[in-house]
Amino acid sequence: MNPVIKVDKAVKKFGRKVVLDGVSLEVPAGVVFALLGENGAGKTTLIRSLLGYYKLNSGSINVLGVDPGRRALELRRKVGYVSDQPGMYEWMTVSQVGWYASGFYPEGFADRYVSLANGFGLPADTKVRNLSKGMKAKVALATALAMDPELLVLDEPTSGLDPLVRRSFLESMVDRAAAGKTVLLSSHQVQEVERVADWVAIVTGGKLQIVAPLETLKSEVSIVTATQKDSLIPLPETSALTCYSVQQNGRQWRLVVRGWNQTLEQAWGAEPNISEIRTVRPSLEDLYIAFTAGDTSDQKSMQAMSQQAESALS
Amino acid sequence: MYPTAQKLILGVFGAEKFSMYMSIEPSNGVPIYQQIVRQVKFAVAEGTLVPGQLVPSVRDLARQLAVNPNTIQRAYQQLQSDEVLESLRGRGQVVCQGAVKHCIAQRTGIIRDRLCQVVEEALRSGLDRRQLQGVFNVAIEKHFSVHREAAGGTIDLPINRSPMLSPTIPVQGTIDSDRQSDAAEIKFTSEGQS
Repeated sequence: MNPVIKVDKAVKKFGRKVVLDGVSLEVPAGVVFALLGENGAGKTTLIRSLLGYYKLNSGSINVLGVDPGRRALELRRKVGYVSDQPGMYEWMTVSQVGWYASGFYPEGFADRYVSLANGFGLPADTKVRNLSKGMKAKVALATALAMDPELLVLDEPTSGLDPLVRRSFLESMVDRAAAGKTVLLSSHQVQEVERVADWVAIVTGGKLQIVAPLETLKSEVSIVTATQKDSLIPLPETSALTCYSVQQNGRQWRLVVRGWNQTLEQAWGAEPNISEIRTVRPSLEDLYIAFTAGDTSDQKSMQAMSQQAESALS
Repeated sequence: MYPTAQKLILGVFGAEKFSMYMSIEPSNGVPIYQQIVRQVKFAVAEGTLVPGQLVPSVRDLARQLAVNPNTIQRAYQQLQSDEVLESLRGRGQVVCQGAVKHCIAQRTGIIRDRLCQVVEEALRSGLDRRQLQGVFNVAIEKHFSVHREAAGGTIDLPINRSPMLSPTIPVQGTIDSDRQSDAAEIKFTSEGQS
């Protein structure tokens, strides 16, 4: 099946600042795809580029077979989008928002909007200006869902919302996925993402650190904690492994690695300098922290440290 | 930022059919689908779910638990291959006739595994077999003395007389064979209670 979203080496600069630095990814149809990353990592820029609000400096994007840079209007009819700060006319009532939006979409929009708004418990005659933040978010979600989009895009949909509103956002996402539609969301709420996502992409500093099905990520990545007897002796060879993060605290090492296995664990356990070794499966939060906080600088410092240690011994 | 032990009371299984509460903790290390599998098995073992009962569709349960539908699908597949659920064409999934027996056995297995983990941790932390059995005895005593007080009388439990649990038993064998004998004992006691 064709991917719903295909991004190829996307680069976006604001002035001299590079916000997207060669991002490539594919979102398969019918999945819940989560973009995780700290504030300012480039998630919103990526999302807004997907919808044609920004033009890329280089690279290409294809969403539902359309190039958003050229045919943004056509695309916006097919994609439901809830931004983190939805722009709505404050003087309209809840029902007027639906009536106004229905003018841009095919028939059936208005009915679906009314039933969604009722389902969310929105007061039809209250003006948007007088709604709480959670209610406004629900109006935006109802508008996005009423068009029954092939692709629903949610930019930090649940930040700052109370648990009940977050819950209805999660239910809507799950419902879309069960109906075979695609959902793309960005979030910091790791626990929520862990519940609903099929695929996860972690973004830092405009670069994609990893894109993988959540299940694969959780089953192939391990957190290894090794305690040494002497911290000046370097750890065994790790070049066969993919190290995502390496941290040292005294005689203890904590590695987030891909490709760890029983044989390696036994080999490390048999090392005279290693007194204890433990392996656990990471939660998404562990992975997120490993990718966002423990990036390459740690690996460099580890190399530097082991070199120092070697020279001290010789 | 977000609660560490987010425990939501979730999911009333399909309104008039039956109700059962499940709680999912996304980041406690156990995959979500396994949490669901486990809770369904426990419910069948306890009799909250009975053979012949319909369970909710994948879509309904996904919505109720706010969990990805593929995760629910995976849990149902696992439950099918464990002979707990079977699909009735056109009607959905029902609890199998023989499921109760499987589930009680599997529940015992799950408890045994968890106790084995505790045993392993205790051995690693330096307790020897006798100390560990002492700790285990105290824990069991504590539980049953609470129950005895609640019942207002003394109940002579077979566990109290079990020679296996006496702290004076001589220690023999390797850790591995210890663990096996512990496992056998655990199995024996929990079957005795169920």
